[in-house]
Amino acid sequence: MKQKITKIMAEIRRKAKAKKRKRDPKRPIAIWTEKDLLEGQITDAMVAILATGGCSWAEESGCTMCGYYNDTCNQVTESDLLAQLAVLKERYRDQKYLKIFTSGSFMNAKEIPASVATEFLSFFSERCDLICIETRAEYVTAEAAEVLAAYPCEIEVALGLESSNDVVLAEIINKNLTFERYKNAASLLLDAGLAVKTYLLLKPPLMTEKEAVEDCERSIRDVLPYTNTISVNPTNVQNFTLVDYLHHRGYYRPPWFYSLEEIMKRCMPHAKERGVRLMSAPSGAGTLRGIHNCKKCDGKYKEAITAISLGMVGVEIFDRIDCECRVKWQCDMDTQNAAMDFHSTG
Amino acid sequence: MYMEIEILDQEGFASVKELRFRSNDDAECFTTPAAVFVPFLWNGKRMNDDESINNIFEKIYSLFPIANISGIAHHNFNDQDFKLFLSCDDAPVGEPFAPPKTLFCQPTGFLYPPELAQNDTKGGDIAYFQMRDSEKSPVNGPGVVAPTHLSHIYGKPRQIIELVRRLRTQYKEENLFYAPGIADPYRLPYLVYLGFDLFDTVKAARDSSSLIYWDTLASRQLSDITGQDLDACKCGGCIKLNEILNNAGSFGKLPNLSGDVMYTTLASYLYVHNCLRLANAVRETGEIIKNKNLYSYAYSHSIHSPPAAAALRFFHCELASDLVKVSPRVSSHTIIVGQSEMIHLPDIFSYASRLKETYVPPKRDILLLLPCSFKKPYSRSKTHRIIRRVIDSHPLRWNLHCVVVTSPLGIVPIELDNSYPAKNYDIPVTGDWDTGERLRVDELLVRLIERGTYEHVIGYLGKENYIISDNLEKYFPDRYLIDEEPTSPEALNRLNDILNSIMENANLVPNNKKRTRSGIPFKTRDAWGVLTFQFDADIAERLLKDSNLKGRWPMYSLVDGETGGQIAKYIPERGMFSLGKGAAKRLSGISSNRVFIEDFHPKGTIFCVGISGADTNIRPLDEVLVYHGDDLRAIGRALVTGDAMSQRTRGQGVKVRHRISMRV
Repeated sequence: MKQKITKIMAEIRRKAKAKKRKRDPKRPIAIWTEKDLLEGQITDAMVAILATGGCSWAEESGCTMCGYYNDTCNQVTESDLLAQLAVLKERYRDQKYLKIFTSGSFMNAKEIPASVATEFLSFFSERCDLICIETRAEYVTAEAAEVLAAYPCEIEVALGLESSNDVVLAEIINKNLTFERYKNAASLLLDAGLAVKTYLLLKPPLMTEKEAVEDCERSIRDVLPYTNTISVNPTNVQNFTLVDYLHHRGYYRPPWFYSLEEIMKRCMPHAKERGVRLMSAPSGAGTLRGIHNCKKCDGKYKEAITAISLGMVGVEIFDRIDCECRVKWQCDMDTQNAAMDFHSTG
Repeated sequence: MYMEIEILDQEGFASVKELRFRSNDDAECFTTPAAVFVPFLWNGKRMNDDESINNIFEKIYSLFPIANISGIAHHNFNDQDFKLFLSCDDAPVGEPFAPPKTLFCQPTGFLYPPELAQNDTKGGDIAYFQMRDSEKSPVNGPGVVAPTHLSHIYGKPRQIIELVRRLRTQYKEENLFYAPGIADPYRLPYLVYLGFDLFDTVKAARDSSSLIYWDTLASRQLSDITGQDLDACKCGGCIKLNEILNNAGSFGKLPNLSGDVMYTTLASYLYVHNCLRLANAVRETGEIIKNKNLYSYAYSHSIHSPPAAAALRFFHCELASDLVKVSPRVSSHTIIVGQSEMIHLPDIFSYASRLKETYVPPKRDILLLLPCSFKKPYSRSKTHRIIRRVIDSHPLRWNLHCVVVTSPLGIVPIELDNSYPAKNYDIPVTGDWDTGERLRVDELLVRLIERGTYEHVIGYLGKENYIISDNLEKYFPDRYLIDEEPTSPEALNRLNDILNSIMENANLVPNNKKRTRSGIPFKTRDAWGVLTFQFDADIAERLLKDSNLKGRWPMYSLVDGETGGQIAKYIPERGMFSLGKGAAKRLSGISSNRVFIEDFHPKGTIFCVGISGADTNIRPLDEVLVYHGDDLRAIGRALVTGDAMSQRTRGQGVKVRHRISMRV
């Protein structure tokens, strides 16, 4: 990544540190229940976000769109994590699907020591059908995969890839990852019999709407052989990130729902063919800092995306939504590349 | 395939460039300003299937000589070329957007917003497109310079002017300066004035998508447009819009916009209309440059746009020295200074700075300050002729220096009244002097008094004497002010009386010596002032020493005292001297106004390609000496600036007047 961007990011992080709010290391950041798909059936899924030391890469440099490093605690001991497990147990209502997330990597032993991880997984793997954890690809090893595979329930490992284009990864997202490395990690997990979920980023910063759509579509096609689920994450503007810096100065507009529609329409047949689940659970959807169209149709699109992600309807549902702002999206798609800017008409 | 650019016409940074695409023996050309056509809603999924719109689009396409077909890749993600298609072929029938000829251009690295750009080898915020011969290496020659994120920095005057400065210093003028994404017909003259040549229909598309209709004088919401407006335009887009809105019977409120198909249809017809408007504006702007009054159109846009107004002020003040260089010394066009803001125009600024820096007033005892006149040159106005009669009949007439006080030039020594812009400027005459105008008068008047040898001063401005009285008091305790109406007998009589009393009291001897001590003939009269203004005091002295005047003012020339050979001839139409053969010897060893050429003996016109270097002080229409090494080969007139003639590869550089063969 360019020096100047690195410098700006370092400055942003310095500010973030000064403003970081203190958190109780004995309580998870958040716990909620949402609907998700389990073996083709819509079920309740419990989501828990643990308070940990956070992402090792964010500590070092960090991704340009990621502000999750703000949701971390500086000092989290093993006993703190066990206290959080206790809270989880208390709040657990026999959901068959559990997602244990951290603002980093579940498989990073420095974040969650192996013994603690075992405590979590062994307790819940006896009660759940599916547990989803997230990790950076570098923590995936053959041994780690085997350990996970040994638990009684199915375990899904979610890898953040964002884009299959190494130039985008290096110069724009600053992911410190290559597609090759992701492929290795994903293959290890698949070989061990684990499920793989891949996060792809829709519209990283410094990209036009059209480039973003093309990049995402390409990435979906590229990862199809290495994953069971693809989750397209439309970028939302998080505090203390380069995206926020650019958004504030008018150089970034979160993606349009139309872009997601376009991607879903073009890729859903390929995904179905391969038996891969293509979904999206946008955060901040319909707000100015999340994926949005215009006020008139944001709600309809949000519902449509959720319905499609849960497999309730097909992508044809999009055709039933009819809004005049489409021409503005079309205009962004048609003109930004030629004008060499990120100007958006809506 | 390669591209050539020749600059045909210029006004400040604005220019009319002729582009020639050559491949083998086939050449096509078009001129700038020009716009690139960007397809919008063309292959859009819900584009209506109406055949007629295809025909309309095909028609507009042919109006845009340059077509951008696939758009420009923003980033170089996949190591593909950035592509800019320039073509001047007509569209093949049935395929309105297929590129007839593809020219690849490729900048290196990424493109970033200015805040993130480092402008190193990895990329910056300016793209430089060089022509490619399909897959082969870049073809030498001019390219296209395209700053990115212009729509973003358009509203930031500082940034835009800083960008203009960078474009001018980093890239040769023989490139195309492309302003992507910001052109609309109203701001187009302003953008061209800043030096951009190439535009596109992106803003037309963006405004169309928001249903903004580009009317003749301003843009309006489509919902405010009536059938009459659309009838008045008669373009293909308007006819269609009229049909739709008429059928829906819904002018003023727009038909059911629930459907995006309807919205898209309206937007696409609007796009047709807006593109046509832009094409017209582009064509018109080119014509305006030829008439050298683009500056006033740039200003007229700034009235509606504060950022443009601010940018123009920065442009004129901060880039003044660069602008002065390209503004010609002589112009037959009247410069109209319609607003006080326009006092910063380069032609006016350059006049003032020359008057301050190089002009040396002749050695006279009495400074007579006169009012300006509507008729130019001043000496032909009725007022001035009446005053002149009193002066010319007075014995002290050679002791007097007449200087006109005026706005916005400040002051004009009467010997310069044939020169540009003193000869041809026009301002609204209101009788009120604003601070800016008064400051300029003060500044130049003080400078004149300090440089001159005046012992007495007479203010003859009538009611307007108050402008100068304070300044005069500082330098001349016994200043004379004649407040009566300048053409009235009272005023004229007082002038005569004052001159008489000066003659008596101050013991002034009427000046009618033949020669001053330095050998400069006294009666060269006004030549001294003109020559110092045109060149500088050193050159003036070289030309005037031991030379004689021949002919009657203003049709006169300077001849050598010994040989009688012509040194210089005054050209009243230009208000300047043109150098004769006799000047060659006298000017040997000067370090300005020189042009260096390759080894050939020029006749007629010297083209830029043969010029290896030139002094940077040279402005268009300056007198120049043409050298090859130490050999003086010719005397002539510059047609472009010194910088331009050494940089350009095409076009004329110097018009030769005298062929000379002399070693210096």
